[in-house]
Amino acid sequence: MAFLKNLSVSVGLVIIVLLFFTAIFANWMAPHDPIRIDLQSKLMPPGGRFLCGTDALGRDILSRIVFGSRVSTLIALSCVFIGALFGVTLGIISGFFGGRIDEFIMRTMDMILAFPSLILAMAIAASLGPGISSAIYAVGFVQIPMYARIARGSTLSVRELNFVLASRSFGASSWRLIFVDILPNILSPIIVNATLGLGSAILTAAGLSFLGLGAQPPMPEWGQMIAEGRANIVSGEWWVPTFPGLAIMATVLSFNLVGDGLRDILDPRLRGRK
Amino acid sequence: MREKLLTIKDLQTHFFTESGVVKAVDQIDLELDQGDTLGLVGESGCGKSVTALSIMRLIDPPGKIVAGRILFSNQDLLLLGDSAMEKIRGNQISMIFQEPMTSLNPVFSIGTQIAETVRTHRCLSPKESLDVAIQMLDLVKIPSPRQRAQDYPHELSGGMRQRVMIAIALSCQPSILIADEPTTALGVTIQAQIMDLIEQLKEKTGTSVILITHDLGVIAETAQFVAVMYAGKVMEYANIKTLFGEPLHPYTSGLMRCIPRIDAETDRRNRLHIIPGIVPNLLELGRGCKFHDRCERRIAVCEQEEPEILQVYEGHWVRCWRAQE
Repeated sequence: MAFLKNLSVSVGLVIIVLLFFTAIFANWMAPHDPIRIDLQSKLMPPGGRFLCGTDALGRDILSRIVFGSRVSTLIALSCVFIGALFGVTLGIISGFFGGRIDEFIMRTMDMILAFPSLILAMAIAASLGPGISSAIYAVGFVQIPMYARIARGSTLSVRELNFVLASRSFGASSWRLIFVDILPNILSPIIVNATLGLGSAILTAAGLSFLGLGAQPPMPEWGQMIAEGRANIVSGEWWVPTFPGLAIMATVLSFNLVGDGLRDILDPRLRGRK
Repeated sequence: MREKLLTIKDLQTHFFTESGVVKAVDQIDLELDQGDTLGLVGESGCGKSVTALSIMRLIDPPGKIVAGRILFSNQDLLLLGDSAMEKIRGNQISMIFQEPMTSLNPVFSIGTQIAETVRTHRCLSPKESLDVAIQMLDLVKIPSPRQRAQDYPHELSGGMRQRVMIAIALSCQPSILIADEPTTALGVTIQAQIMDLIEQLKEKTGTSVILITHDLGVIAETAQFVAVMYAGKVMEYANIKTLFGEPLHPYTSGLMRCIPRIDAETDRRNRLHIIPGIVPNLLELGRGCKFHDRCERRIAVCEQEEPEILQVYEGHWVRCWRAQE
């Protein structure tokens, strides 16, 4: 397929598959217990038993990265789910009904967008209390306006298409028009942006954890591992924050590559087909 | 005495644009008898489609039905609420459109789309509604209906898509089918097939038809009564024999003269007949008859005052000063 022929997309896809596989089978893939403290082995460089070295409490970094993939995957999927669910709903309602409803919803979205997303996420997570679920709600919330805008724009154009008028002429109610005629036909840009949004969600959540607002110790989360190992770079134990950083980079990159590939596939072909 | 199925009185549909008010439909009276085909003929922009959309109450802002009554089944359609109107659309009055290529939802199979409309108006299970869908595909003469029901719209040709639209339109056995230029976008042979199909289905299901077209030939073969529209008004209304036998309005006779004749003398001096001029800009209408500037029989009063539509002979109505002499 043309999709797989593209090298960068294939690489991205491989990494994503690896990520999900690791997240699901973490128990079998991690060489050591990720939270077992072993002060005898603290701050050991990569090699031997500990392929990525150990951190200040003697925990195996590789195992923590492996389990961290579970956390990151959970965060990414949940945030995109929340963002897309509310965002797309609001966007479709806004685009379909227009008028004051549209104004109200879009101005609210503008208000959310006015804040830098990390700052807003911090504020929400801080007020909800530290923890993974707060991070998920916060990051999910700041993603809502993006989906709302995309959904609204697509709804505005699909709404004018002939088959929507035909459906109305056959007696479709507004809700039927929304769910049967409009929603399935606006999915492409939403899927593309959801794929890209996965990477963005991981980054923002890692940022929150770095600041202490997301995952709490001892739960292994990549951003939090970077925070803990921040000082270690200076004192020469470069591996403590570097490997989690590489994990974040590889994951976000792979989502972006796949998202780009999806966009290339879905858009031109749609134009050709219709 | 046959039942009057649909009566339109004094319909006015205006579009309130930034450049002014466009009276797309300006006081129209029409009637449809049970079992008949009513033809609505006119050039592009004369208001025929807007009339159809007004009947279906599908006029969106900036358009608005500002006056009139549309009497159907002992009620005035213009007074109904939205959900009451939704129960009528597709169920008692159906409409098919000009562009079958884009009238179907691309992401669902055709069987699903027919079944969807059936389930909207009837309490049937998914399986039962799909059976109805397959029956309808058979009715519109799509071969192997059970297999074709799973096809997607892009796998079908324009003619077949129009058949699917007809299947959806008739699936709940409406009393009226409005066909808005159903064959304009199709080739001539397909046009003939589709018009034949509509005729046969009309007899089979007892549906009455309002056929909107700019093609007098199609009207001549299928309609019982015809209304000729121009600039938002009905210019002439008569039964088919009378209209073609003795057209009274200069526009009607002009249109008929414009039809190329295959038996005309092939002579370099013989040119196709035209009606000079173009349709008026509906934003800049004058006081008099809307057709006067293109009319070869105009007199002084035509520019000053607009004629009313009057019944000149039994059942034959004309809006023309000269015809009313």
